Amino acid sequence: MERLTLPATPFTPLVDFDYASRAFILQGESYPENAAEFYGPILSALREYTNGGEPSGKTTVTLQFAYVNSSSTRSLQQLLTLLDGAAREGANIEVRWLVEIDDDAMAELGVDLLGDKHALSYEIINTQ
Amino acid sequence: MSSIVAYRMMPESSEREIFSYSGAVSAGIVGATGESLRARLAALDVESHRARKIFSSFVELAYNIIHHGEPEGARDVKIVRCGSIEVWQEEQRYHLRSRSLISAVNAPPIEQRLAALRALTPEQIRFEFRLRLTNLQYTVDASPTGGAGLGLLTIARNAVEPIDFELVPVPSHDGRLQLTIHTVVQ
Repeated sequence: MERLTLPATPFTPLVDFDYASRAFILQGESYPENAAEFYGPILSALREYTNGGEPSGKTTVTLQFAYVNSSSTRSLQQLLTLLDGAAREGANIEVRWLVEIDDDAMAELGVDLLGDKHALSYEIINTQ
Repeated sequence: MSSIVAYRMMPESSEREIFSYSGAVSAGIVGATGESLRARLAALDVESHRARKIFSSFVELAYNIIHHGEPEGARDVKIVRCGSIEVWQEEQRYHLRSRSLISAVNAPPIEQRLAALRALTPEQIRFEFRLRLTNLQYTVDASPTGGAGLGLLTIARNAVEPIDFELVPVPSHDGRLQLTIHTVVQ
């Protein structure tokens, strides 16, 4: 698959899905008016990747948001559910949820989103 | 503007106006006004955890205007929603108030939702948020943008007291109602 990159905008995060190194990054703001529209192609790309039956190897997904609005939250739930499903099928996926050290709400959102994804390996990491 | 005039514009001596916007509301305007609000909160040295909650509630209120508001003006090809949002401080509490017009058809479900929300305890709000977040059945029915009704729950979650709201008929606007939502962040 061809690397998927989208630049950050005032409303949407930087997207960098480097399939070759199995490193996926979403970083920045996430409050588009229509999150379903923005995340639709991203979910499709992930679905294609996880259905691809690629050889084993750890996939690292790094999520670092300054702000996530409610409809983006829902899209992230769909994204992580998709990854959790792939992990249940045997994929080795690690999710890194990066939060600023005093951003309790973002840390709490990470727990809300990841707490029930039992097949995923995940870590909530404080950053400066 | 002199500081004397600026001072006179404040609603009450114990209150500090932080931000206000009135006019067309689009995604671009949400972004621009949101950034202005962030800059203003930073300039006032509002603690970061409070500033994040204020910003979050501001964005959700603004998108609520876009998603539930009635279009204004028939001449423009592009549909325009209008409304206002004010942010002010009273001691250590930050108030946000949005106003917008909604249709008579949209009013009952919004009223029902806000009334139900007002009756919930913080624990119930958190439970409801997680339920709607994790239960896929809410995706389609609750919001045209996939939000599953999480916007109002987010505002409630940020708030230190139950969300207050009011729906008032506007006789000059063909049966439309003015929706006012008031929330307090601490």
